[in-house]
Amino acid sequence: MARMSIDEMTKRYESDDGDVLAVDDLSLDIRDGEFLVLVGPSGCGKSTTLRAIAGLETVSEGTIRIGDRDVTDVKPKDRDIAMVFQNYALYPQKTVAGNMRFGLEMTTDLDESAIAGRVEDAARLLDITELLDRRPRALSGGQQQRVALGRAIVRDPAVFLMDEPLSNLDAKLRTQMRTELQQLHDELGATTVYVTHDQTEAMTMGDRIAVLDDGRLQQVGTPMEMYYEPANEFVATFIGSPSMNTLAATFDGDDVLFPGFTYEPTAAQRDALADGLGGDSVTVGIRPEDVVLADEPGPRTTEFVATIVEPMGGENVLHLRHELGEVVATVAGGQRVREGDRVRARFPADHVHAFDGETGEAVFNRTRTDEPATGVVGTSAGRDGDTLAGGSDPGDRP
Amino acid sequence: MSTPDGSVRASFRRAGSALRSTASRVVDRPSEENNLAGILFVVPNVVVFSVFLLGPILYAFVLSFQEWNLFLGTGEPAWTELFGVSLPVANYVDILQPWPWENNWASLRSPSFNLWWFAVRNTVLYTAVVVPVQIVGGFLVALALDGRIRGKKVYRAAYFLPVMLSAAASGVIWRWVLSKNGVLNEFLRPVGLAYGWANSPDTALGALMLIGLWGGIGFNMILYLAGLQNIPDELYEAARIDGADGLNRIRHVTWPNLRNTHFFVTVLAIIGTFQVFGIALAFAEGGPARATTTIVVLIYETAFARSSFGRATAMAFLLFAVVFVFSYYRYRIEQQEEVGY
Repeated sequence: MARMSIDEMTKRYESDDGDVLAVDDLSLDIRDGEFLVLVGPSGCGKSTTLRAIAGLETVSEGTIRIGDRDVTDVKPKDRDIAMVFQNYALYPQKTVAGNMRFGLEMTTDLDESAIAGRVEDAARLLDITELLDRRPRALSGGQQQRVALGRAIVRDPAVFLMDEPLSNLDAKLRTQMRTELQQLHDELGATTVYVTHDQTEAMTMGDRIAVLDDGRLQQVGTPMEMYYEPANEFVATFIGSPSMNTLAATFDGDDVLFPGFTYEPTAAQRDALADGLGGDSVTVGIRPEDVVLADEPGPRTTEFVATIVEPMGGENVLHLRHELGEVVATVAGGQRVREGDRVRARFPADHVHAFDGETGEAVFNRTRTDEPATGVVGTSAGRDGDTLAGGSDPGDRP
Repeated sequence: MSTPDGSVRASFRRAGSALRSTASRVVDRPSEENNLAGILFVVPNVVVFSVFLLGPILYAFVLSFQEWNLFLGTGEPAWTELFGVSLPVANYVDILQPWPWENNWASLRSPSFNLWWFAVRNTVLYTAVVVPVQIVGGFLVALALDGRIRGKKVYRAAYFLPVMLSAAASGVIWRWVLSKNGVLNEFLRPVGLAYGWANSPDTALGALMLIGLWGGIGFNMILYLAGLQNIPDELYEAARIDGADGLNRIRHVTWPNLRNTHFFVTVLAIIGTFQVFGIALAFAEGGPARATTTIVVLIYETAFARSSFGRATAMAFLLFAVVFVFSYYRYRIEQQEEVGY
C-alpha cells in the first residue's frame, strides 16, 4: 500500500497535423488506501493518465511518484502496480491459475508452493477456486473479470489500476460487481485508481473523484462535493443523472433575466454574482430533482408545457418547454403529469447554481445539506463526510 | 467425445427441417420444387468440379491399376501375385519394391536401386529442412517487420517478391547464381571457396532447399503478419505489467496466440514441400545424379519422358496418400485441442 502523486504531468502525442495534447499539466495526490475514480467523457485523457501511471505510456513532462519513489522512468514491472483491463486481457492459452501466477513467476523468486498458496488465497477471496484449471474461453464475462482481478491481487501491488473494468459486463452484473469491488477494496485497503466514463460508477465507488475534460483536471473531491459544489459547468452537468439543467441568462445587477422569466436572486447570490461574474452573461444551473412543481404563482416560479414524460416507476422525468429553454424535472412516480399539460414549477433559491456565462466557472453553488436522514438511529464512521444517503435532498420535496 | 462439428451439423439439420415444415405449411407447394431450386444453385460448381477435378481423379485412379498404352489409348489391368492372390496392383508393387530395408537401405543412399525410394528420401529431406526453417523464418521476419521500423513496407515487399515469381523463373535465376561460373562464385573465388553448388550431387539438394526457403519465408511472413494483427495490444501490456521481458512476451503471448496461423502455415508448408516440382525441374532437372529428383519430378519423368502413365498415376496416388494422412492428422490433433477448452 502506498500513497501516490502525479505532479504537473503532460502527455503529448506527435501527429502529422500538429501535436495532440492528451493530458495537460495534471497534478493529483492519491492517499494511501484511497479509491480514486478518474472520470470524464471519452478522449478526456483519463485512460492516458492511467496508462502513464502504469508505465505503458511515457510522459512528456512531469513526474509520477508511488510511495516515496519517483517512477516516471521506471518500467511497468518495477512500479509495484497491477492493472485490470477493460477486456480483461487474460492469456487465452493459460489456465486461470496460470494467468494468476504468471506475474509472480516473472517478477519474484517465490518457490512453487508459495506461488500456489498466493494464487489459492486470491482465488478464495474472489470465489473462483473451482475455476482454477479452466481456460478463459470457458468462463463467462463476470468470471473472466474476477480472474483479471485475481491476477492483480496475487501480485499484492502498492497501487491497483483499473481501466473501465466493468464496461464489458451487462447492466445487472455490472451493478453486482460494483458492490463486490467496493467490498474487495474495503477488505484489501489497497490504493486504487479507477477509470470510468460512467458517472454512476464514479459516484458510488469513489472515495474521491477526479473529473477530467479535454486533458485537463476539472475538479477533485468527494462524490458529495462534486454533486453539491461543482467547480464549473462541465462538472455540474457531468455528475448527476439526469444531468443538471443549465440555462443561459443575463444579470443586470439586480435580477437574473431569462427570456420570459426573471429569477430574483437572494441577497447573498446577488453579491456573489456582482463579484464573480466577468461579464453580464450567467448560466443558471438546477438539478432535475430540485425543480419543484408549485400550486401557487410566486417568486422564481413560472409556467411550462410538459412535452415528454418518461415514467421510471419511482419517479417521472418531465421535459418542460419554456421560452428560456427546455428544463428537465423529476417528480415522484405517483404524481401524474401528462404530455401537453401546463405545469407550474419553481426554482428554489437554495438549490440554484450559477456559472460564469463565459468561462463556465462556478459563481455560487447550492446550499449543501448534510443532515442524517430520517430513520438513521445510530451512526458509524462512514466515508469522509459522505453520510448522505443517495444524492437527493430530503428537505425540499413536494 | 462428440466433435463440435457434429452438434452444429445436427442443429443445422433440425433448423433445416423446421424451416421446411414451416415453408410447406405457409406456401402450399410440393417440397421437390424447393429442392430443385437448391440443385440449380449448386449445378455450376458440381459440373465444373466433376469435369475438371473429380473425373480426372477417378480416371487417374483407374489408370494407376493399368498398363496404359499411350499410342493405342487403351489399358490392360496390370496383374500381379500378392499374398497368393492375383490383383491388378503391379504398378504399386513395382514402385515400392524392393522395400528399402530389404537391401539394407541402399535405395536411400543411391538412386540406382529404387528410384521411388530415393525420390522419397530427397523429398523427405527437403521437407524436413524447409518446413521448420520456413515457418520459424517467416515468423521471425514477420515479428521484425511488425514493429515500428523505418521502411518496413519496403522490406515486406522485398520478402514477398519471390512468392510472386514463377517457380521456373526462380529455378533459373538460382541456377545462374549457384552454378560453377555463377554470381556467387565470383565472390567466393577470391577466398578460395568457389564450388559447383548446383553441379555437385552433395550440394544440389541443399541449394534446392535454399530456393524453397527463399520463396517460402516471404509467403509465411504474410500469413504471420496477418496473424500478429489479431493479437490484442492489451495482452502485451498485461504481460509487460506482469514483468515479462521481450522474449517472454513472444513466448507467452505472441507464439501461443498464433495457434491458428501455425496450423494453417504448417499444413500449407508440408503440402507444398511434398509437392515441390517447378523449382527442382528448372534448377537442375532432377540432377545431378538424381540429387534433386523429388517425388513429383519422378512422377513427371515417368509419365512424360517414359510414357508410363499407369505407373506415374500410381506414384501420384501414393504421394496423395502421404499428404492426406499428414493433413488429416494435423487437423484431428487441432480439433482435439480445441475440444479441450
